Amino acid sequence: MLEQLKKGTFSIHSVFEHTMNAIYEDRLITFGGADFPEGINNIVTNISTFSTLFEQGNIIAIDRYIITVNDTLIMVPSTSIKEYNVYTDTYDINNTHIENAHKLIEFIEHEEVLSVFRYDKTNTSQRYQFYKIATFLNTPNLETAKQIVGLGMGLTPIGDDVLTGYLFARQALGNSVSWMDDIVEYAQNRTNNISLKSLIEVKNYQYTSFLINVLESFFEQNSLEITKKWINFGATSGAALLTGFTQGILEEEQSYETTQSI
Amino acid sequence: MKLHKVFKNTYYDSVSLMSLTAKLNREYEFIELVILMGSEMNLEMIQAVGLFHDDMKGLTPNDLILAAETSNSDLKEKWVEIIFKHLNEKKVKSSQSQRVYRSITAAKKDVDANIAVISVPGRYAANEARVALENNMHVMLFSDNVTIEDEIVLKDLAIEKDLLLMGPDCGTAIINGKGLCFANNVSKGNIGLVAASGTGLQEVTVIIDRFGGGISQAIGVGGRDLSELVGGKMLLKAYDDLEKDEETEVIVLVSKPPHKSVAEKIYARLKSIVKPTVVCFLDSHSDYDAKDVYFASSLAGAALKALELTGTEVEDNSILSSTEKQMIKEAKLLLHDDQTKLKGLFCGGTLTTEALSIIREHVVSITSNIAKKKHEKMMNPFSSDGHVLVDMGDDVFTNGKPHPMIEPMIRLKRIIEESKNPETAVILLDFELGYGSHEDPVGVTIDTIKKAQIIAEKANRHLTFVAYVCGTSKDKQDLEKSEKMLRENGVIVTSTNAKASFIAAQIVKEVA
Repeated sequence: MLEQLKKGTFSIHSVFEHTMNAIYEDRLITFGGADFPEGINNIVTNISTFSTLFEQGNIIAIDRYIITVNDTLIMVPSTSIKEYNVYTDTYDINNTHIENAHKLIEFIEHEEVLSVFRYDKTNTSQRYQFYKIATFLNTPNLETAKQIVGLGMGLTPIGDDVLTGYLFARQALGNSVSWMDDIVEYAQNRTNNISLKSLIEVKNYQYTSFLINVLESFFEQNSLEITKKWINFGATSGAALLTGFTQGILEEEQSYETTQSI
Repeated sequence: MKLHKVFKNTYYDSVSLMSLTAKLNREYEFIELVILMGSEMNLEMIQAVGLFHDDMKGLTPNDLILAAETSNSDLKEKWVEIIFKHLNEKKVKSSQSQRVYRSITAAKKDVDANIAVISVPGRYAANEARVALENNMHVMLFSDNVTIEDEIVLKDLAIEKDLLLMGPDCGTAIINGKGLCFANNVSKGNIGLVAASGTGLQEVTVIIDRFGGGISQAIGVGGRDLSELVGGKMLLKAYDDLEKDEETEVIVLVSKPPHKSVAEKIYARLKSIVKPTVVCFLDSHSDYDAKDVYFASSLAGAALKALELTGTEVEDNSILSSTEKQMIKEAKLLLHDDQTKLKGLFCGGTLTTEALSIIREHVVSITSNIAKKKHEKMMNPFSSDGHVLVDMGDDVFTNGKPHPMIEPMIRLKRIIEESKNPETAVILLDFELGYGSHEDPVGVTIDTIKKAQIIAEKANRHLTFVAYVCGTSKDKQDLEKSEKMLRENGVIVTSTNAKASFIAAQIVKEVA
């Protein structure tokens, strides 16, 4: 995506161990290391640990492919500098996809100590969050979606992650959600920039290389290998994204069964 | 007592926020604790759980909220400090104890270091290792995903310059008394090691320390060094170095079985040695015979033989004490008829291999996810059937998650699953202490052990736990306290992994 960045300076918004964010014009740009997924708002660099080098507020100077922060030169691999294309493929659901979506639910239950399928029901705040998320998953619409925007633990609230995963799945099946634009607009100022970035990118079909790999492996190769890696994102984000995604797929289950029986 | 604090425009990653919430809930008496971003929905939630305060009005989703309820009045003044101390610990350690340079060459000019520890993604690691070698530094290459071709070129370069290239995928070394990456705090002494095995190196150095000896140098060479293509290059070079090292009087070589061609090279080298050498190629057999070369079938055996060669008197650790025999007898008596199987859940890969080599001699059949023999290969590492030994540090489990030596909690779910299995008689565990390991691996596991025991009891079964703690009295995690905690909860604790494996096997032996 570097092609699109013009010469100028902007400041670091937030720094974590393996990534760093900055606000460039009106969008959040994320810098990551060599294994970071490519995307319209992602910059792959040679830096593996950002937290030892940079701080919130440091100034980033950019001039075409040369990026400096304080005295540190950030190198961008030449293969990452390219024009970004919006993802346009959609997929038809089949029985294997539905079976695999069920397997993903079992996987989340098995792997994740904290998810809508397994949480501490004696903990008041967890009960609160997951009840609302379960309500959305049972009846996904604008009103239930509004109840989970910005909701939950984690830097990117898990409600946002569930919503992002769900919208992603619906789009992949060619079934755009009628309230998508409304909920993304609703989310402005109701969740943080980092969470909003993912939501907007999905709405605009601006998928990162990782998300594209998820779609290709899930729908074309009928494989769960890459999809399952999603669970490793953050502490709870991965499971939440995966939960939303499986729900988005399984909405097709009933209509698929009906079609098959005709 | 309700507490709160807000921080504008403050971001910490989810892993830190989540792990800290869990940790503090365990350690302190919080009735409720939330660490959340200040979104509208989160503020509503905080209100719903009764922790809202007017200070939270006007917050944005980019702000961080801490809110808690506790009956512990001692926390009132210090809870925020505690939270931020933990959140900032990593950042402070990174920024204050290290100077940061833009390149290895720049660092070398300023510091004149003679060793570089490299832990960058594989794509860059080989190049950084080459730069370090060209700057006349030994290298510890912690990174994996380095190609075998690069490994060969780097090791050739290192040998040409008379330098060590420890790795790739080398996580353990002790150089001039300093532990690098994962290592235990052991006494300095006259036994030198070369190991193509991280936990193998740890186990041997720990046992040597425990039984009164010390380590001159412990050189890791990376798990692939003894493969056919790499040819044992770095093991042979490190062996030569230890022969020349004045502090080293006895040398120990540790590895999983080398490729046949590499074994032959090593045996050829051992024909003319100047220092007694103990060889432990786990789970392999050799008829090789040479003066002053001793073969050990276990890591403990290798360590004790090395001690004996330095003149240190050691007891035969392989003999069971009367207490241990009694514990085995009692454990067998308590077994339900269905309980016939052993489940080993390990953090250390080499300890798993050692356990396999011991236990298979005592049971009808056993499988493992790290087994080399086809008939011993576990079909599905996520599900155990029969006697099994699972290396939970294997890629299939870690895959982006922390290694269980760093985060033991990934093993906890599996312990509970195995406790629910009616055939489980014994659960065998290892715990690794030392640099780089979790700050309290036994502490975070003990509740799960108790819970597992209760699950079994409710089903009229008795579950025996056998455990080994790989550590020394000098390790920060407190070996004595760790072992005591286990014993107090009915766990059979042994002084070596080999003995733990043997005892676990004896409990199920005749029942199989």
